[in-house]
Amino acid sequence: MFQDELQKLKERALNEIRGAHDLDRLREMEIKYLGRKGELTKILRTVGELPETERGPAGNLANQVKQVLASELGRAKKALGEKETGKVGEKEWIDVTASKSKRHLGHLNPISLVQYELEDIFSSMDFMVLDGPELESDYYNFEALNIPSWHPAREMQDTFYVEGDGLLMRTHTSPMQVRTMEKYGAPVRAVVPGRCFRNEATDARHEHTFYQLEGFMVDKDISVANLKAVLEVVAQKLYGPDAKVRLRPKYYPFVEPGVNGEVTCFLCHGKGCRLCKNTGWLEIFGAGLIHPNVLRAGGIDPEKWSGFAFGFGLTRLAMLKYGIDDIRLFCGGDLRFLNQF
Amino acid sequence: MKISFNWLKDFVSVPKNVTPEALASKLMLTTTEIEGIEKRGEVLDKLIVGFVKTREKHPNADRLSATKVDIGGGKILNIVCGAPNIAAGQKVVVALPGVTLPNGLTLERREVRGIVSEGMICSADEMGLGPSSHAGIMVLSGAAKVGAKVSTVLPMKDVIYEIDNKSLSHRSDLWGHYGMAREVAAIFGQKFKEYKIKKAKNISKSAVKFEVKVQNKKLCPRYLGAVVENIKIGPSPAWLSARLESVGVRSINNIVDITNYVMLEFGQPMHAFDFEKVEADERGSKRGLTRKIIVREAKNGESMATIDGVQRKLDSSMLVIADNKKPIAIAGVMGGGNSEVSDKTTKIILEAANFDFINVRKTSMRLGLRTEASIRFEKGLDPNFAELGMARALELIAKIIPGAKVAGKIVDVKNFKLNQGPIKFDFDFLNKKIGEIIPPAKVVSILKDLGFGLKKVGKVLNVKIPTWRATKDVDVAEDLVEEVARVYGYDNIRGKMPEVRMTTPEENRARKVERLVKNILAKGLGMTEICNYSFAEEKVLRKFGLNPAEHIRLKNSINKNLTHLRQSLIPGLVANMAQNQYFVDSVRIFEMGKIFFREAGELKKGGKSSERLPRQDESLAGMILEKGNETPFYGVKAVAAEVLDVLHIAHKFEVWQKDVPMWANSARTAKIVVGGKTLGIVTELSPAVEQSFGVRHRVGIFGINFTELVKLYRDEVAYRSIPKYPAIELDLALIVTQKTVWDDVLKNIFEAENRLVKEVKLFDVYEGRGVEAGKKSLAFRIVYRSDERTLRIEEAKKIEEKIIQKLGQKFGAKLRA
Repeated sequence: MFQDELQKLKERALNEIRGAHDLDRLREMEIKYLGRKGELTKILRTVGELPETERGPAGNLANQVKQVLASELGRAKKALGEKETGKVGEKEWIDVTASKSKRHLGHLNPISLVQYELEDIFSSMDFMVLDGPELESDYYNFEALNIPSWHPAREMQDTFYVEGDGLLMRTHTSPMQVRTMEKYGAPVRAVVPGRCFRNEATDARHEHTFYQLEGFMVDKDISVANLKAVLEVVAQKLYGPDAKVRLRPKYYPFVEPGVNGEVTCFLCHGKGCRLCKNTGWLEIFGAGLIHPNVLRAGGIDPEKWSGFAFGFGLTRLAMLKYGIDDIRLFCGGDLRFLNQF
Repeated sequence: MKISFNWLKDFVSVPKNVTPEALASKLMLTTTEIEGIEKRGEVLDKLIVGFVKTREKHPNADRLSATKVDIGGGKILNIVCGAPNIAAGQKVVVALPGVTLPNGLTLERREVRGIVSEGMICSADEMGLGPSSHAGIMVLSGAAKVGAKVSTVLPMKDVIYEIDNKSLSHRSDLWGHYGMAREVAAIFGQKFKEYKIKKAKNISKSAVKFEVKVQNKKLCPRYLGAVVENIKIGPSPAWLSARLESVGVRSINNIVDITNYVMLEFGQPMHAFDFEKVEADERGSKRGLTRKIIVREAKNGESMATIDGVQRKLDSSMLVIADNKKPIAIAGVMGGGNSEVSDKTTKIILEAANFDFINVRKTSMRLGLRTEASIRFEKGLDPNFAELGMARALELIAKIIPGAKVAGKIVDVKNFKLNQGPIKFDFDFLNKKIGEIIPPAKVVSILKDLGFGLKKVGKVLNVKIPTWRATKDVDVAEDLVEEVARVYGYDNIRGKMPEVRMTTPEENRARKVERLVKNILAKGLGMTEICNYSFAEEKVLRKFGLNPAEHIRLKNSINKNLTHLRQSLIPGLVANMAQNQYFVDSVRIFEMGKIFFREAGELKKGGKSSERLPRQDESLAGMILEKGNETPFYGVKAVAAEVLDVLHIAHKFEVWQKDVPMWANSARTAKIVVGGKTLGIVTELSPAVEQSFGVRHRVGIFGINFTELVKLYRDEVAYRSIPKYPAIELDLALIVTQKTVWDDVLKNIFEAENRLVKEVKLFDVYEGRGVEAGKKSLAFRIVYRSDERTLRIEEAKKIEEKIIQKLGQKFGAKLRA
């Protein structure tokens, strides 16, 4: 009796499971037969009511049926699952090669990008990052930098003079050397990025507005070797671990000795190419040991302290880095240029 | 300036293993910038000496000759030649087929009007030896061996260095081959062949009487003058003109060439006056034979034609060389046409002088006349060069013009004193500055080779500055450090990181905020950074209703568009809008930059002045133009709000009622208010300005005083606990009159309930179909929440009722159906 019932149930359940066409239906089957209130569960619960001698075989049989149904359910689920995934694929398909417009990002001026790169290198060596006035006095731009009124360097710099007594647009970022020494005394180290101006006609290679990054360090026994090492670090951060620095004599009234700094050409790695005009070197900064007259102007005793100073052409660095061939683009405001960076 | 390798070798022997290229790179690392290296006469090895056996007129061409040229080894070539000076019996330079000339032409056998030409007879120009003073082919001396390489006959193979003049602006001693040779000697440790002044042998008694009167001794520290008689003006010998031409100077005649030669050799400009053209001094007995050179300031109104034929107006700031009646030269700049040497000249007054460098520069700038002489004098020459130059010039005259005699003695008026030190220089100081121990013997030899006088006193060197470096070039110990460092070689100095105490650099808030804001604008808000000029143009300022008189004016701009300093970033950015609107559909840009005011700011002018620099603020502005967007105001307002939120600055936008800037759309202008103070503006470009700049779409604008913004920035966030109880959000749509201001609505909502209403978000403003004319619909979401318990929906509904009622009373607001 019990066995018959169980056998019938098994047949019915298997038929229904095999006839189920979707996963929802299978879930129903699972609940119907194997659930807490399911039919098989109910029968299993009656096993205890059987005479003691029948209990064993009946229990075994019931468990057998349970296992058969469970495994059949599992098999059917898997089969149907595979089928349904295929259907989902049908429903969900999109063309992943097509694109809709991206979220529009803005762009920083390439000068800012190069400037930040350098600022971060120097910040990591404990240099302050300072800002100075673009409209400067004759005193800080020339006089305090050992460029007295008779000095020919003044005429070479094509200065924009503005109305008012002894006022001009700074021709370099160097005036901040003396302003900084006056404010902070020694020891001190700082970099000053900023705009500079030359009163000249513009073309693809000349611009009346350009950017420099000035840097200087005043401390005990600062030497040419120190200058070289610090700038080597910068060169390597900018152009990779193999970049070297070469110094050549160059006259600037506010440093003594004065040098021109070149780094290994990053394009040809020093072999010589069009970019470096076949020299293997790119000239990217001017530098030197701060002239004692400049230290004095900054209120620092040159007997006790010494320092180095350098100036990078940010505009030039950006032109080299991105291969830009027209200097006027930086301040030109053309989004077709600016949106590339 | 051009420097000849061969000429250098007159004064220094360059080691055999040093090629001209190696010499150049060494000079570049030690002394000067070299812009180019030009090899001259390379081709001479490939050309051969030929003998013109016959020359006939070309049968088919009037101007051509048909020649038979013997090139040795029994070979006779037919050569067609176009030069007018070709003649039988000449020794000439022959280029054979296959040879490439410096001008790029490769020769081949070819037919010229029916005659096959088997080579070419060359001119100096074709050999790359510069324009010849003679027209046509170069004729070689009769002694030249037929068939020999031309290089054996013409020792003109040379390497010419093009020196960057700017790199020598501080080295007046290097403006000639002599000084450059001394550098070469020091660099390679070779002996420098010093030029020893020898007394001229051809000084003779003469009836001529000659005087020099220097009136302004400050502007003329030295003047040497000599009269030379029995001069015969003529062409220079080949070696002389060749040398001049090798460094790009045209040969003129023997006397002029000698003065130029001396200048190129020692850097000392010279001048020769025609004795007869200098006014005779009629005092004394020797009538007609007395001359007096006067060095004086020019008189205002005086004028003189210089040898280039240009009439020059002189004034009292200029120094002239004059005779009794008139100026005959502008000191240190150019001679006068009135006393110029000509073919007929038989007596000259030779000048070797030294003039004040500042005065020469100013005069030359004032006249717009820069000459080979003035560029040298303005560097500040050693007055001793004048003596050297005079001696050398007289030596060359004696050599080239055999009968020439120096009449009487050389006049020398000197009024100068050079600071030759000595400078105390100790090795420890040097090593500390360089950061490398340089062997004392090396230091000594470097300085000695450069001409410094050395005396060792204990551990210190007393260094005497040579006269040619005592011309404001070298005066402190640091200058000597440079001399040693550069000759020792910067390449030999190894980098060594400074050993210093660690510090924490002071934080620069402005820079920190600047970077933060720029990054948010670009990477968060889709704005691109512009860097416009710091300048403004008067015309444009007016268009913006800005008063040029309130702007700082540029005094000497060479660019018509740059007349003033900007006081606002707006005009520049509007121009960017006009420029970019055709290329992109959406222009979203910003700029951060300095603006300039007439009043004094905080920074001092420095030096003796107690004044302060004009105020220079940092300003931030941005603009949005989007095709089809008629109210970009809201776009820029959102951008401004984001920036302030990022900086945690509590702010309000208030309607800007009065005195809206002329360039702004007065109906769409708000102030950004922080703590009761106006920090900036949000607006749109006024239609008038839009039109005058050809901007074809509406432009939203924000402007913020960045200097103030930095002061307001607090890097502080006060944490508030996350709400414990859920909120209820209910949407409302109300119809109000069109001019109803949202801020007022908001105020009234919070007045109706300020404890449980936590947030009100306006999400739609609608006018048009379905809404009565003159009215608009405001749709907004109110967030209700209690901090103490879970709010029930009934409670929220009740508050909503209250709000609707309040807004009904205040604005006649009705629920939208």
